[in-house]
Order: sequence, then C-alpha cells, then structure tokens
Amino acid sequence: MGLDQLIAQERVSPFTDEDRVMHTSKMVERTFGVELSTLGRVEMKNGQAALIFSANGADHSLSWARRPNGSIVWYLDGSDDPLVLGGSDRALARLLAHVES
Amino acid sequence: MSFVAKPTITITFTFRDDDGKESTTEILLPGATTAANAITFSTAVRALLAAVSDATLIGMNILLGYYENAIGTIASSDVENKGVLLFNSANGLKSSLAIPSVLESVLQGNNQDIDLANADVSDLVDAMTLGLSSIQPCNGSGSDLVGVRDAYKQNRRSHLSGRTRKG
Repeated sequence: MGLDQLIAQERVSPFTDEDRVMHTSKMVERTFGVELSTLGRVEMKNGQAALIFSANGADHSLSWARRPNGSIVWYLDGSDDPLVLGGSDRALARLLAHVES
Repeated sequence: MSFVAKPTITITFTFRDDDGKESTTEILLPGATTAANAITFSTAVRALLAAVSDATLIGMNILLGYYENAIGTIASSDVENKGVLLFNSANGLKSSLAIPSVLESVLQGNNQDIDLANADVSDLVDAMTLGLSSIQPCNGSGSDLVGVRDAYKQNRRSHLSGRTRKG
C-alpha cells in the first residue's frame, strides 16, 4: 500500500456514500446533458460512486476525478487511464467511442 | 474549544429615506427560537415597524450566529493571503469564495494556483458545486454553483481586530 493510500485511509471524508452518489449523479447529468435515468444508475462500487450503464450488450462503470487545474476526467471500468470527455453531446459520443474501442 | 450558538438571533431591518440614506435597526430573539419561527416573527413584525416609519423598509436579514468560545494560540497565519475559488453558476454568472490565510500546502508548484485535486480542496469544491448533506450552495441570484473556473492565491487587505488601521 502506497503512502498516498495510507494517508487517504486516515483521512475522514465529510461525505456519506449517499452524498457521493448524489455528487456523481449531478456530475453525470451536467457532463452528458441528459437525465441520469436515460444513461443508467449511480451506485457505490469499490468504495467509489460510479455510473453503471450498459452499451453494446455489456455493463460498464464510469467514475470521475478532479485534476489540479479543476478539469474533470473519467475512468472507464476501473481503468487508470483518464478520459477527457468534455461536455454535452460530444461527451456522450466520446464515451461511446471509448467503450467500443 | 468548540463552536457554540450565540444566545440570541439577530433580525436586522434596513430603511431608506427619500434622500437615499439608509439606516438599520435590530430586534433580538432568544437563541432557542427555531429558524422557521424567527422567519415567521420577522415577517409579522416587519409590517409593524413599517407602520410607524415614513421611510421605506427595503430589507431584512436574520442572523443565526455561532462563535468559538475558547480561542487558543493561533498558528502562524496571514488572513490577507486569500485562497480565491471562482465558481461558475448554472445561470452563467460567476460567484467567488475567498478563504483567509489559505494553506501554502494546497498551492501548486507555482505557489499561486490552488491544487484542485488536493483532497481537502476537492472536498470543499464538491461541497460547493455538488452539495453537502443534500444542500446545494448557490450564487446571489439563487442559481446552483456548478464548477470552478479559477482558483488562486490573492493578497487582500484585512480588517485589524480591536484597532483601526491607517492608510
């Protein structure tokens, strides 16, 4: 376990799981510009709130993080590879492109 | 040390006269009064105040105060060094939060920009833009804060506690 993870473990978050689910729900709706229910659902997965959605017959998960400059990056299916999706229609098209790749 | 509620709730009424001058007056309520009851009382008494003044009652604020009841030794700090978070709102307007004596440890390598990925900063930004305890902060026109457009350290003049400052 790395030092960052140890520090993160010691740190008490002010947010409940319910807060985190709400945060990710809002982030999904603001990013993709559609109602959450049209994409999927948000639930806690491995201690992190994630969008659970289906595409091309397979289930996927999508979580997010904030970069030092404030931009939002997304992580598909638990990958460490950050995706920059932008906003609205383009975000959805980019996400589907990554899912299909 | 702990934060405790002030023993009273302060209601401030602002009046404006026909010269454009403004003046305020206050009514205190017991601190145990609920926020809902304070609003009910303030709304009712507002009309009574207006009835005995020929100025126009233009505003009313209800202040629920809390204070630190045992201030200990204060760590090395400088409240003129603000950490400014500039937010985007859903209606397109900007809104800012200036945090006094922002920690050097939350700044990026250029010692100017705030690291928005820092865990403590990120939690604060999440609370402001995504909500905390199911409450979502907003700008002055009531529109949700939805993101950060800029975050930096800025030096701003302070008020000196207990004495006046020249210049």
